[in-house]
Formats: sequence, C-alpha cells, structure tokens
Amino acid sequence: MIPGMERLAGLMQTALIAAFLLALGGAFVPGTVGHASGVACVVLLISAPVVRVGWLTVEWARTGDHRFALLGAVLLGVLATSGLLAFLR
Amino acid sequence: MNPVELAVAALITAAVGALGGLGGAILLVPILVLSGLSAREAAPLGLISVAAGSLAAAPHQLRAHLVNHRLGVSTEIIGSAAALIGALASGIIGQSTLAVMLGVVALVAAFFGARRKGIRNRPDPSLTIDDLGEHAGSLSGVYQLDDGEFVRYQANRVPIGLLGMASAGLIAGLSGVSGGFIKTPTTSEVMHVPVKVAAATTTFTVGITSAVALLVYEAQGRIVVSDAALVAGAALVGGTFGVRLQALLPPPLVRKVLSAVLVIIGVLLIVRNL
Repeated sequence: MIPGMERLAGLMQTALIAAFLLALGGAFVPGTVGHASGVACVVLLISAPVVRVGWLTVEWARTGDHRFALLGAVLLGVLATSGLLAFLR
Repeated sequence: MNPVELAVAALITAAVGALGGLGGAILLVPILVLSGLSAREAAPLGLISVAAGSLAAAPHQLRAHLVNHRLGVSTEIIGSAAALIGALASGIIGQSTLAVMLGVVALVAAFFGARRKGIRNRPDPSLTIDDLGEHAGSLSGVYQLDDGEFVRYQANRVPIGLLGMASAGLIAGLSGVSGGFIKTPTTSEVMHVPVKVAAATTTFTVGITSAVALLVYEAQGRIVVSDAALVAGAALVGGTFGVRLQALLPPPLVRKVLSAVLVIIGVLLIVRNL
C-alpha cells in the first residue's frame, strides 16, 4: 500500500472510533457533557471529509500532481464558501 | 418513533445502504417520514447517517484501493455547489412537496438499483499488485477483483457525468437523502468506471456533499443533537458492518431486494401526500 494512503486510512480509522465514542456520549450521557459530546460528533462527521480533501490536496501538490492539487483547492474553496454562506444567512 | 426504533432503523439502513452502494439515507429518510417525522426534521438525520456511513467505509475502502479520489474531487466541486443551493432552498419548500419528491426519488433509486450491471471491464493479466490504485495526473486506475485478477479502467464522458453529479447534489441538499443512488449509476453506467470503484468513490463524495448540507442545516437550527448522535452511532456501526458484508454477498441480489423495498416506500410516500 502507498505509505501516504496508509496514513490517511489510519487517520480515518481514528476519526471513526472517536466519532463513535462521541456519538455514544451524545446519545446516552445527560446534561451539558452529553450535549457537548453530540455536538463534537456532528462537527467531526462534517470535518472528516474536509480534512480528507485537504490531506489529498497537499499530497497531490507534494508529489507534483498540480492539476488535481488545484482541483482539490477549488473544492476546499467551495466548501469554505458553503460554510460562510450558511452562517451569514 | 422512540430512540430504540430510531437507532435500529439507522443501523439497518446504513448497513443495507452500504451493501447496495446507494447510501442508507435513501431508506432512512422515507422511513422516518412514514413514521410521523416531518420531511424537514428527517432530512438532517438522513445526512448525519450518510456522513457516518461515509466515515465508516473509509478505512476499509482506502486500504483496498477502491476509491478514485481524483475522480471524486473533480466531480464533487459541482456536486457540493449544487448541494449548497439545494440546502438553502429546502427551507422554502413545503412539507408535502418534499415528501412527494422523496417518493419520486425512492422510485428513481429503485429503477437505477435494479438496472445496474455487474463487471464491465475485463481483467488484464499483464497487471500486477504494483499497478493497483488510482493513477496520478488522470482519471484512471486499476482495481482488484474478488478472484485476485486486476482490471484497468478510465473515466469517460466526464461532462455528462458532471450533470448527474449536479442533480445528485441538488437532491441531497433539498431532501437530505444521499445523492449516491444517482452518483453511483452515473459513474458506473455513464462514465464507465467499474461498479465497485464507482460505489466506493461515491461513498467518499457523499460524505463531502452531506458535510456541506449539514452546515446549512446547523445554521438553520435544524439538527437535534441527541437524535443526531444516536443516528450517527448506529450508522457508524451499520456502515462498518455493511461494507464488510459487501465483499461477501452478491451485490446484484442485494440491489434487487433494496429496489423492491424502495418501490414500496416510494409509492406509500406519494400516495399519502398527494
């Protein structure tokens, strides 16, 4: 396996376990701690694919695949614009 | 629907969605609507399920080199932009209109699920494990069949494929179902990417699309954190289980059963809301 992809798979595995634990907290722990855990789970689910695209963009730029690094950057721009528009509206 | 029923529904739909390569929300959202939840309330839970299913599938699919990230990123630019437009517009569309739209979407998903084909590209004996994965600088790659043989593929007809991705993003943002039932057949049947690679790449991109729409829903105050956490936990387990089972069961059989369920759900939604 390509070392970079193995690292990304490991990162996603860690995010998966963390999201599951946070989801359990959000679903079953009462009060503000449970609420914070649920919010953190949602934030993690939203940010995981963004981090993945960011990681790929950097990896492509680093290995000289500039065309796809540019496309990755454009997608990150779309995501950032989406977040901005969502909260400004 | 009580919390136990919600968790069971999320777990089973995420597992079945991962098995069929369509995404669990296409089943979960109609079920939630039929159980009495409004379409506006069901949509964010559907997207939480999609995001969780995408994350659950990631480690396995990355290690199996099934995802073509270059194809996913290239097509997701227009998909995410369309999802944003759909999510922003979803607040101004009526309940029954959304429910009927979901019914139509379920029927369309059933149609595409039933007609999807198996392996299109032939194995190439000259390929080895060193060729496995996506290729730098292009929308091509090599993937491995269950019997160990390697298959070369190249994405074709990209502009038409982009139209499909835009439609999928718009529907995802509007209704909260994953656009996967459009994306996977578009990638496979229009762009001629092998079904397994198409499904894995779609699982990656629906995670991005759902992230965009969830941001909008969060800003609109439509995410109930406790319900979202329950659905996320169950969908993470279901998605992990489903993606493992995908390698064991014949996908055509799973897709046919899934299509039958979708037809029933779609007809019920349309009849009840017209």
